Amino acid sequence: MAARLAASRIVHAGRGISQPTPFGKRMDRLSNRVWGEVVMPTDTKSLKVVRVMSAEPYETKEQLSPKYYPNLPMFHYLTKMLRFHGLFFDDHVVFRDVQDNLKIIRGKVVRPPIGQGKRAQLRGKK
Amino acid sequence: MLRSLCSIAVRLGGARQPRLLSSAASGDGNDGKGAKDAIDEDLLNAIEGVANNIHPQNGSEKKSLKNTLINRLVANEKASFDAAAASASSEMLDDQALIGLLADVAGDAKVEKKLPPKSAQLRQEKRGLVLLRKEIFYQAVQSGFTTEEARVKSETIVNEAQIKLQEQRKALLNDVREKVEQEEVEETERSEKDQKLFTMALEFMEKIYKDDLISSAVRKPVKVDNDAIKLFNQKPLGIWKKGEKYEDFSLGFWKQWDERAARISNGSFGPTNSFEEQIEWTTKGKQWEYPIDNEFKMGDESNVSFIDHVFLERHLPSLGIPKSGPIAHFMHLVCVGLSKNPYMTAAKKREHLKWFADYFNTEKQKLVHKLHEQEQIAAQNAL
Repeated sequence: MAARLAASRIVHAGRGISQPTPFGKRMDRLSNRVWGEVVMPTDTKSLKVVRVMSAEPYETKEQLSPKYYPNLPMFHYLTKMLRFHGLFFDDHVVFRDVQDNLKIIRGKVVRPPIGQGKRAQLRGKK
Repeated sequence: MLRSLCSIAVRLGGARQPRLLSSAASGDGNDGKGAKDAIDEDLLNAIEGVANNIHPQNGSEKKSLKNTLINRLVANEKASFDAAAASASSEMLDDQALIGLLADVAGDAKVEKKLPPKSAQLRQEKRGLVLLRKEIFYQAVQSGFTTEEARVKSETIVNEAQIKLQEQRKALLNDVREKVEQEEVEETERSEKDQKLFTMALEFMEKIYKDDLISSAVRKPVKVDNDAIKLFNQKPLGIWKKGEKYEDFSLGFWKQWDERAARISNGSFGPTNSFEEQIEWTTKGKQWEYPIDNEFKMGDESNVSFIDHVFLERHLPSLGIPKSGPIAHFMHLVCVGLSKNPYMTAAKKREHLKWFADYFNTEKQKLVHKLHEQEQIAAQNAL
């Protein structure tokens, strides 16, 4: 939005627009009035009003409504509980269990406690 | 060959009976003729010899003995002929071709019976109508009408009966229900005596036209029995005395799920071609509606002009915003911002302006004005 509100860099040399003369100032005001821009000289802080008013309102933003996001903790709990009761089957979970068992058989640590993993040990050496 | 055999059999059958009957019925002359046909001359001579030997003197006894012997011989001949004919006729009946031939002969015999010519039929019908009119006249006179009234009434009733009969015939050919309705309508029109005469005329007229093919060919109408039991208009038996107190209670989702299951089972197993598939996607909102339109689902905003969206400063004087000063400057910024907003409806933008107008009421205007003056004074003092 800030880029749109910056002064135009097009040179209007022949028509006197944006010149520091009284005629130039009057032409700037006329141009802003014609194209629906701010007419009176305004400081940068006050231009925030224009930016806020031209943005999408909060009540219609999809990303801010509860309906936009699924209830992820509930689904996580349901996958665990239903799998425990035998009512839900996930190939990915089964595959990961198989791989973890293979790692254990090969003598590797699948999930080390916090602070004792490979990265933590390397950081400790530094 | 079979035809000739049949003709021979028929001729034999025809030739046999009258001679036997005549021999049984009539006297001596015919006896001789029948005997001559049935028995050889040698046997006849032998019979005369025997009769002469037994009764040489008495003529009457001689004649009676001769007749007895001839009759017995004729009966014996008939019995043997019957036996042979029976075996032959049984062989004939076993032959299918002969049976077919006999059936054809019978069919030809039936076909020969034709309808009488149309003019004769019409003549008979007219004669019948005249007689019917006379009969109705006599009945009317007997039931108490005067001669003149009876004559007029007989003619009228016969004409009406004729028309009614024609309508009945048409009703039989087309539909039976119309007939019943017409009967119900017409029955109310006539009086009791006229109804009796009308019924009598109808019956006689049906007898007159009985020989028509139409009446015999058309199927018999099935009349509704009004006294039959009507299953769906019965009174309740009164077994459950508190029926109105009971309610049908069930959870809502069971009904919804049953309806959904019915919809799924009735809807077969999905679309059968690409067109139905795209229709389904469009209904679910997964696909644009074709032909494509970039104003898709605009709703009420399609009737709003861009002027209402962009030129918002014209609403400020009516809302009570001052025309100069810091408040005017701020509202100018608000209008410029709202005019660039593509996410709002025009009505919502006007609501925003109204809210700002309510916020900048008279007291707040004075306060802002005072603060602005102080700021101006401070600026001047600073310079």
